[in-house]
Amino acid sequence: MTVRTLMDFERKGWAKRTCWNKWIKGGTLILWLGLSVLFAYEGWFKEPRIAWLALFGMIYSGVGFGARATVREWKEEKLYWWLSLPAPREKLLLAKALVALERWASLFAGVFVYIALYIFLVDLAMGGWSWHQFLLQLQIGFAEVLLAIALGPFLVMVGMLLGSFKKSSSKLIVGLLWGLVITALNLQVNLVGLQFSDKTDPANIIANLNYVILLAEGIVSYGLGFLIFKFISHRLKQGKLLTGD
Amino acid sequence: MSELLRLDGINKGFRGQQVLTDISFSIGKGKAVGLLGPNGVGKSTLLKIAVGLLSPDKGEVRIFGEPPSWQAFERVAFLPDRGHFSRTMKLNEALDMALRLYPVFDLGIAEEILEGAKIPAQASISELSRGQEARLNIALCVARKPELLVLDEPFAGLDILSREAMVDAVIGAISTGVQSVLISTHDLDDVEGVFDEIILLNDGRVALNQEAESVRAKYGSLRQMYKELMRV
Amino acid sequence: MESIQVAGITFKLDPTKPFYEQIVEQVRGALARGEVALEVRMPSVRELAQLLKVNPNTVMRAYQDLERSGLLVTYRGQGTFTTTKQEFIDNIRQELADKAIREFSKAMSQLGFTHEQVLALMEEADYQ
Repeated sequence: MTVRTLMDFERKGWAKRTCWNKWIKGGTLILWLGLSVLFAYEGWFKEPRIAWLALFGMIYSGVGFGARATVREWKEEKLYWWLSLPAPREKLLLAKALVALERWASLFAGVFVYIALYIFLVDLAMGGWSWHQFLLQLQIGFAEVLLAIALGPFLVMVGMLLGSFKKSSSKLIVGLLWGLVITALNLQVNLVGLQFSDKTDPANIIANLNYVILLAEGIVSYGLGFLIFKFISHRLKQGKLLTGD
Repeated sequence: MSELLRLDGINKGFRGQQVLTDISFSIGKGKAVGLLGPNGVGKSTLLKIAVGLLSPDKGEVRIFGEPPSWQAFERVAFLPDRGHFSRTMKLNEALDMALRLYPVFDLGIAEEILEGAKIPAQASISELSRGQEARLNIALCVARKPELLVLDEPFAGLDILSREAMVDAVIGAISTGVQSVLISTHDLDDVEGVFDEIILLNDGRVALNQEAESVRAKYGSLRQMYKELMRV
Repeated sequence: MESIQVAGITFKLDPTKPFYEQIVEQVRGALARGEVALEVRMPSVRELAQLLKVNPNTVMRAYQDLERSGLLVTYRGQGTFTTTKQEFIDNIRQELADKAIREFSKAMSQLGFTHEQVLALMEEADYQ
């Protein structure tokens, strides 16, 4: 059995949104875009690039995606069917993690495009639009993409681990992990925070990123992600996770 | 090898409460074994331990002569007492998926079991009736032609027709002569005659482990035996 | 358990007795009474097991027993059939008749009738 097959199986598990729901969400997004353009036209907006903060938040939704992937197994009572698939536990988990990552990444990309469009339109409505200015603003987004790539897999794994505990007895571990997440958050705020102030020249954002810290963060996050992965698969092999312990 | 499954001195507790005490039994090739006992006696826990989904606190499990591992699931099909293969898939999607997921999957057998279940093609599994989903589940297990079929309370809460279909599917599997089944049930309606051997669980221990025909000879019927032994 | 008819044989299993013996008896009875003809195809082990809701090993054992006494014959690849030979059926009829007579005479002697009295009663009785 290939990981691809298991991923197809996993994808089916991500609940399909009803059409109704989709229309509401799409409508809200368009309405918000329209209002913003109107406000910008009236001169109420100064800094459209603040919108990138929303994308920043999206990075951390990785935890939610990971948690949903594992919580669903026992909440929807699919756990034992899933666990009795004839595949190594690592493969089962990998497929699950990859699909969660995929879902998170596609939402992230969607938000990225939406914000880019938003900035484009708002800038246009405020007058004084230029290609140069627009590209500079996009750089903030690209910086966030780099951070997302560095942190994403770790956050998804943290989520998967959190979702694996049925019992509150594991609160200590949960607290510890959240501590790690918040540390990472602080690191990132330091990295990106400055770039939202008026003083920084957007032209220098990519150039000014501290790549040493970014790389270090990436290495630590992938390492931790891998360790969490090993931990979950080890517990699954012992029949000790997701099963009431 | 004629012994497919062997449990030796299994103990299991949850949060300090002992559920299973010193359980030992084995299952031979081509045998249909019934695991009987009242609700909550630990039958589900025992079956999960037998297929390696839970680890015992003490004791040893050997499945095809080896400690349980994921490889065993290529030859064992396990039907949990509750739960779903998927919630969102439609019938055909589930069968297609099973073809890809399992090393062996005989679509003909699955379709034979599903005949008459009247599962609407466009409904997702979560929209099926209990009986329909039960039939889909047993089809997903039996079509894999497993050497060992482990079913946890497969007949509980089903309408008469679905129940008969389940029994038929199980008998079909035993008829191959190379498949063994281990079935837990708290209720003997329609299944009195299905078993070769009976294991009765009471208070987390094996209260009886005997051939079904000799139980009938000694106690009159399985039902009678059940009543007599559970009263003590 | 409700009765089940297949190939002219009526099965009715009682869960308080071994199923294997009941299946053998009921097939023999049907053959002796002529309810099932010679050279009739019997249901397969699996079919009969599913109809009666019993373990196929039980049906298999019953079939093997009936084959040993010549009442059933299995042709490889074709299935199981009732015997081609009337003599086997006659033997069974004789056996069952002897058994019925034994039971009958036992019951009559327990009621205190002598052999002659029984014969006289039989003369008068409506024979169905």
